[in-house]
Order: sequence, then structure tokens, then C-alpha cells
Amino acid sequence: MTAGTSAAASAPRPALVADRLCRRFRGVTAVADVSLQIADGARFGIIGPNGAGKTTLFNMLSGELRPTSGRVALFGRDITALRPYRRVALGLGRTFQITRVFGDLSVLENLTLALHGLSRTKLSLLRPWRSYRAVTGDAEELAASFGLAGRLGTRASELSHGEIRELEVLLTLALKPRVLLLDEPAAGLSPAERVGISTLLRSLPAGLTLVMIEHDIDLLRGVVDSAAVLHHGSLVLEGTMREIQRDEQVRELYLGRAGQ
Amino acid sequence: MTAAGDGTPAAASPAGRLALAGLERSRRLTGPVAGAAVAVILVLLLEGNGFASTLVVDMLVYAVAAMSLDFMAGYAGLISLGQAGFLGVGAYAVAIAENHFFSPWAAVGIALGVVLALGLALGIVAVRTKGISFVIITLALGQVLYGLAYQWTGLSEGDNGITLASLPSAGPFDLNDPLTLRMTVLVVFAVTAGLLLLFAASPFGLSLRGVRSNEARLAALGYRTGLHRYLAWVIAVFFAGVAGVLYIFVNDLISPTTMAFSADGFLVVMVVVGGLGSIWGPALGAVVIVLFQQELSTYVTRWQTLMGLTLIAVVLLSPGGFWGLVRAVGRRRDALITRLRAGQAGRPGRAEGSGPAQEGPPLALEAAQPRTEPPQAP
Repeated sequence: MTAGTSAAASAPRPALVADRLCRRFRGVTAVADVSLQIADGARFGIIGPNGAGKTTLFNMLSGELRPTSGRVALFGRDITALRPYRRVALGLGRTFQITRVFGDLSVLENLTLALHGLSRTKLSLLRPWRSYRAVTGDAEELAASFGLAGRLGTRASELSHGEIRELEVLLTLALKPRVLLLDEPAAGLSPAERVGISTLLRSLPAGLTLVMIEHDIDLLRGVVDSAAVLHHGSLVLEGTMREIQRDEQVRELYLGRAGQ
Repeated sequence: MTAAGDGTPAAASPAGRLALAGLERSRRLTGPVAGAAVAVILVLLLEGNGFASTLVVDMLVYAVAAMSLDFMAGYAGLISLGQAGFLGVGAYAVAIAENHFFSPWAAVGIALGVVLALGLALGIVAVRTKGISFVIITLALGQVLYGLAYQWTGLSEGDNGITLASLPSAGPFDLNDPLTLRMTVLVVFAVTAGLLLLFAASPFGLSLRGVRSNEARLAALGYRTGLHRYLAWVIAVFFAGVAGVLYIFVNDLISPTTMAFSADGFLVVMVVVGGLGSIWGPALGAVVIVLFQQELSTYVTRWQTLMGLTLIAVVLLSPGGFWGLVRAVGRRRDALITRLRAGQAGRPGRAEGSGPAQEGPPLALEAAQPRTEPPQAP
């Protein structure tokens, strides 16, 4: 850090920038010309009907998918060409809509894998992973902080649906990301389980930038400040949650269509 | 099972306490005691000069190859149908180097170097693929190696194979002495098993299980998964080469049939029947398959039919192979210990929920229990 000059920069550098992202699948445009600027520390939601291109957009941000055109930048650095594991190392973490945990592994093993993710020890061969007391201690602490303490020895595939969702978020949090992308963290959960995940999301560290796809407006309202609406792959509206909820077009597109 | 199996354990009764102490001691001691017993039996069998010692040595050589395959197949999910090819390369390289006037020790070094280099080079191709494509690529690589052994007669002497003139020796340690050779094979087997088990228990080994379980998720956790699969492949190929060196020492002859497709298949069978991802299981699988091939075949002409039926029975009855049965016994004991402990603590028989894996019913009950509250923001 250079002394004294950081304040001279005009605006704070955004954490994550999508610059005119496009993605076509065999002539079908899934995401068309989407630009977003997400400020450092912001809590941002992405909503839109099914098939609007939300997950495709996420996959381009996290690197699972290459954009047809456009760029992605993380803290001012162009990461468009970087593969997912490199983006993770730069502080970009994500969860998946279709839950991906390591089903054959225990909760402790799942979390241990995540904790070794950014360290050189992930390639260490000559020492049992159980002997890394600092790492397993962190894993136990992480599990305890979200009510999985009693489940450390349980195989992830044998957890309840809500617990699997929590584990999914914990795996990503273990990497201490600076920007966290959550793809429908509450999908398929019962109302009771939603409360658990909502509490988890609200207790995330303050400096963390959060971008979250979610259908449940009530859940979203408790967690994010502003949001963007995606429809047919295009950004139709961006604003505070209050503005989004008031907007007629959004009601028609999204809330109305849901028939609630 | 026993009285404690019906969910209402003998609470704090003296009998219950005694049973608990016994079971806990068994959990601590089973591994070391079984290991020591197997070691003693192997040494005793290998000391004799009879048929048994020859059989056991063959089992150990194939056990090294099967364990090497298990390291990539059982942990990283990379099922290779070319592993016997690398065993063959190790064996051929020793014989060819000796025929080109290298000393026996140098020949061993050259063989291991060649296998390692080949593993590093071919891995770049093989590891680009996954799943069924990987199986096919390794099948093709194995067949290329087999074809070379068969047709590159200038180097390999074709289907006659190559014989080995003499084995390494250093002072009193002389591998040309059959007993020394057999004990050395046992030591190499033990060291290989120890190393592979250590690798499997390391963070790297855990990452391989992550690759097998969900590779995309692992990449999203910052792992360069291709590198991990590549290293697993290189390690597995290297130890197949080690098995090849032992093979030529034991047999004094290497010919293309050792690398044939059926040999690749037998290795996969050893691993699957023994129990994927357990290292010891595939060693056990090698013991059984070699027993079928060499012993039963002398008594029964239709030994292959019998072997086939055995394999079907094992795969149907225990998807985890032989080692799966061993593990099931261990799990049952752990569940019993948990229940007895709960009884000792005076609580009604509820499992603690921290055992590695429990039987169905108590788990399903626990899942329905309310969990601890998520924490409040500090």
C-alpha cells in the first residue's frame, strides 16, 4: 500500500465488474450485453424468471463458462481468461444452484478440503490430513458456527437438505472469499430451513461483497440492499430493493407471472 | 446380533461395561494384531522353498500392481485398463538394460526412470480425459505397449520374451539367493502399501477423493484438479513399474502375454473385488485372483467359470468388495460401542451422531430432530 495517496482516487474501485457480457448457445442468446458494477462490500441480488440467464451470468462471472463476448473484472483486474480455480485464489467464491458437496465424504472431510483449497498443503503427500490440527480445528469451528458441529462424522449425502445447503455455503466461506456468488441458496428448502439459511446469510462478515440469485423476494429483502432484474438474458432494471419492488414492469414480468 | 442390537442396551450393568471395554480394546488392537499376524504368516510361508512360497511371491508382486491401480482408480476414480502395460515396461526395461551391458543395479534404476518418464509423458494425454474416455484411452495405451513388446523384436525379442541373466547383489545381500529375493519382495510390498496408504491419508489423497466425488466443486474450491489427477496417474504408473521390476526378478522372464489385455482386466478385477479405495482390499484381491489362476487351475479345468461365479457373488453381496465386508464388521462394532456408551451414560439409547457412518434407522431419526440454532451475529 502506498502511503497517503489512496484517498486521491476518485471513486472506490468496484469489487466485481461485468462489462457487456454476452453468451450464445448455438444461436440462442442466453445473456445479452449485461453490464454490472458491484461496489466493494455491497449486498446485491439478481432476480428474474426461470430461463432469464441468471445462472449463465454467474457461470461467466465464476469462470465455469467463457463469455461469447465481454469482460469480467475483479477488483480492477481483468479475469475474463482465468479458469475457476485461479479466480478462487483471487478471492471469488461461489455456490451452486444444484447443490454440489462431496457426497461420499464426511462433513469434516468436506470442510478440510475447502480449507486446504488455497494453501500449498493441498499437494502435500507425506502427512495425514488429520494431523493438520490447525486446519481440522478451523473446520470444527466452522461447522460449529452454523449448527453442523454434531455432524462432523456424517457423510454429506446423508445430511438433510437444509444442512447440505448450509454445508455448500460453508465450503465457499472456508476460502475466505472477498466476493461471494450465491446461486439460489434457499432453493427447495422448507420455510423452517429458509430461516436457518437466512440467518446464516445475515451473519456473513461485514466486508464481504455478496451477489446472490434468489427467487424468494422476502429472503432477498432481508439480505441485499440493491438488485438487478434479468429477463430474456437482458438487464431490464437495476436499483434498490424498494425501487425493484415498486416497479410495475417487474411485477408483470416476475411477481405477476409467479401468480402469488 | 447380540442383546445390544435391539436398541435397548443393557444400561450400566456390569456385563454392559465389560462388553464395552472389550469392544473398545478390539477397536484399538484389531489393526495392529491382524497386521502382525499376516506379517508372521507371510514370513513363515516365504521361508519354505516349496510351491507355497512361489505362490505367495506371485501374489505379492500382483498385489503391488493392484494397489498401484487402486491409488488412481479407487481414490481419483481413474479406472485404467492399461496398468499391466506399465508393469511390463518396468520388467522389460530391466531385462533390456541388462542385455545392453548395464549392471543389474543400474538396470533397476533405468527401469524405474523409464517408467516414470513414460508415466509423465503419457499422463499428459491420458489425464485430459475422464470417465469412460479415460478407460478407453488407457486401454489404447496399454495395447500400444503390448504391441511394441510383441513386434519390436529387435528390442523385445517378440513373443519369446527376454530372460534375465542375473539379479542385483551387494556384498552379503544377494537377490540371486531365492530366500533373500522373496523377503525383499515382501519388504517392497510392505513399503509400497505403507507409502500408498500414507499418500491416501494425506491432504493430496483427500483431494483425489474430492475429484472422484465432485470434480467441478473441487475446482470451485481453488484446486487445479487436472494437476491432481495427473499426479495420481504418475504415482500409480510408477508403482506399476516397481511391480514390473519385482516381476522380472521373480520370474526371470518377461514376455508380451504379461501385458495382454486379459492381464489389464485381471488387475481391474483384483481392485474391484478387493474393494476400491482401500489399498489393502486390492492386495487381498490379488491374493484371491492369483490363487484362482495358479492353484485352482491345476485341479479344476473350469476354474475360470468358478472364478466368474465367485466374482459375481462378491460384487452382488458386497459392493465394497472383500474390504467392504471387513469395514462393515468394523462399522457394526463402532455402532455397538456408541450404543453401549449411551447406555453407560444413563441416557436412553440414542446414538451420539458422531460415528463415522451409522446404520439407517438411527440416522433417519436424527435427521428429523431439530438442530442447534444458528448463531446470532456477534
